[in-house]
Amino acid sequence: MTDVDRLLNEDGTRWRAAQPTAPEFDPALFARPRRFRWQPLAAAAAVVIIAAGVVGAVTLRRSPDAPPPAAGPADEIVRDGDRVAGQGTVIAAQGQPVRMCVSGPQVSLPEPPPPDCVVGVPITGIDLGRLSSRDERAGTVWGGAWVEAVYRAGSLTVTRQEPYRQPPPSDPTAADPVPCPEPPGGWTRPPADNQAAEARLKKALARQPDVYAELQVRYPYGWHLQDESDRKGTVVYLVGTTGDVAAARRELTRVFPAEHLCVTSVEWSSAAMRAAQRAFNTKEAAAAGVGWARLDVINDGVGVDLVVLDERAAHFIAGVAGGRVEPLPLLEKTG
Amino acid sequence: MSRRAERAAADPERPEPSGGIPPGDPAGFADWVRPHLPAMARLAARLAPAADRDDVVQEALVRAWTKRRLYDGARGTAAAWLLAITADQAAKARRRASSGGRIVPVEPEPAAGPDPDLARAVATLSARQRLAVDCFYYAGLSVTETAAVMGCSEGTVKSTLSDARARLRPLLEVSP
Repeated sequence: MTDVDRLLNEDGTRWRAAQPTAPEFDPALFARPRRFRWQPLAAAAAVVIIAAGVVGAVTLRRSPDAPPPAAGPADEIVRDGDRVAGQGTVIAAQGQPVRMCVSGPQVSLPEPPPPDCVVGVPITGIDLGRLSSRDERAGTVWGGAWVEAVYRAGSLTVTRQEPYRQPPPSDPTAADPVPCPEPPGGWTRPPADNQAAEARLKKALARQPDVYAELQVRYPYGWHLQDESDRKGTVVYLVGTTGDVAAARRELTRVFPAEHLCVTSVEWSSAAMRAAQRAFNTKEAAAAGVGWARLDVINDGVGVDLVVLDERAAHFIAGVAGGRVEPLPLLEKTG
Repeated sequence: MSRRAERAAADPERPEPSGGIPPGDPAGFADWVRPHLPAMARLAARLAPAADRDDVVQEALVRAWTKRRLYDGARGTAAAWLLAITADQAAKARRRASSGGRIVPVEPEPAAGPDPDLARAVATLSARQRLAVDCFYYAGLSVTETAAVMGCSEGTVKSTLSDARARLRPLLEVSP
């Protein structure tokens, strides 16, 4: 061992000894892995995209192999006296009750205007001075908070307040799952002049929106820390169909190279997703306390934002798309 | 006694290499990652000193959970895989910190060690050499794990560490 080696070893040993204990594993991070919540304020720009009807990568990310929820929807409905916990945007506007809200888009400006409260539930007992990312403008105070509360008569009474818990950021460089077997030798890059074929594929899908889902482009080798090959940037065109997969593949490979195409079975066609989106973009939905829909093409699902899944909201959601829409309440029942 | 065995004996927190597919249930996954948390925390603290260490670790755990099916025990140990993910999340934390208006360099900044002279000398190393020194000497990773973090071969790690020591030697005025 050289002296430099010894010095570094000794310094490293002392540094490690001075480190605080490693964090405990937080199983709450994985208790509901199917729901990766959005940051209510900073991520709201992405909401604009969804509101505009563009679907795809900016939707909720549910791990396709995540374990199923522990309780069925009936167990998740919040009734008077139930305790709930979760987080969202708190908005206190002049002349209105303080509300926990599914918030509207935030504009990335030095002095952004107050966010809209798309759907909100009155909340009492919250300390506005302790809101995360607290801001105040035009007589409105807003910010994020994690709370435990009691739900009664359509209102929340806070029993515990903590800072907003930042959800893990998504990784745009992540490798995408591709639900088709990798061809021998791996997926290959489409040719540079693939635009014409892609346009033909899109046209074929658009002719049958009640059969096909939105076209997705997936990066099967998008992320790997040690991948220094030239495969990065390889894409696979993924098409979901509610019909027969083999027949769809035969049809689509007439207009698009088979080696870059993956056809898979899905529950939600493009038309069905958009119909669900329209159903939630109504006054009736807002009156039921239900916010906007998230079209999750990646995981073949539609979710809908709301503050609390009470009986009224649950009834409304169950009436859309045969009850296939997943409620995504900010606050969920804890007991 | 091999170098790895020496390090393992010197560091009771160091987990033995483990293989197998990560369990698909949260409780099983928790058991699978728990032995590696100390090393993950040390690496996060070393590579992203301006970030919240525990946040980086939690982000790495979420990442590992969502990517667990990509883990291939034949290609490396669980520790190496988890540490590589932790290093990736630490890099992202640094980028977030630097883009958030705080003056934090994107390259690994030298987390201060107990010896200020040594810390100053380490700060003069190239980013690659600092990374190797941080992983091996401070975070206490093995050469194999350091190679996983750096995305290079074990031989490259050894030569990088050798170069780093050679560069430090005149700065510290110690014998070879």
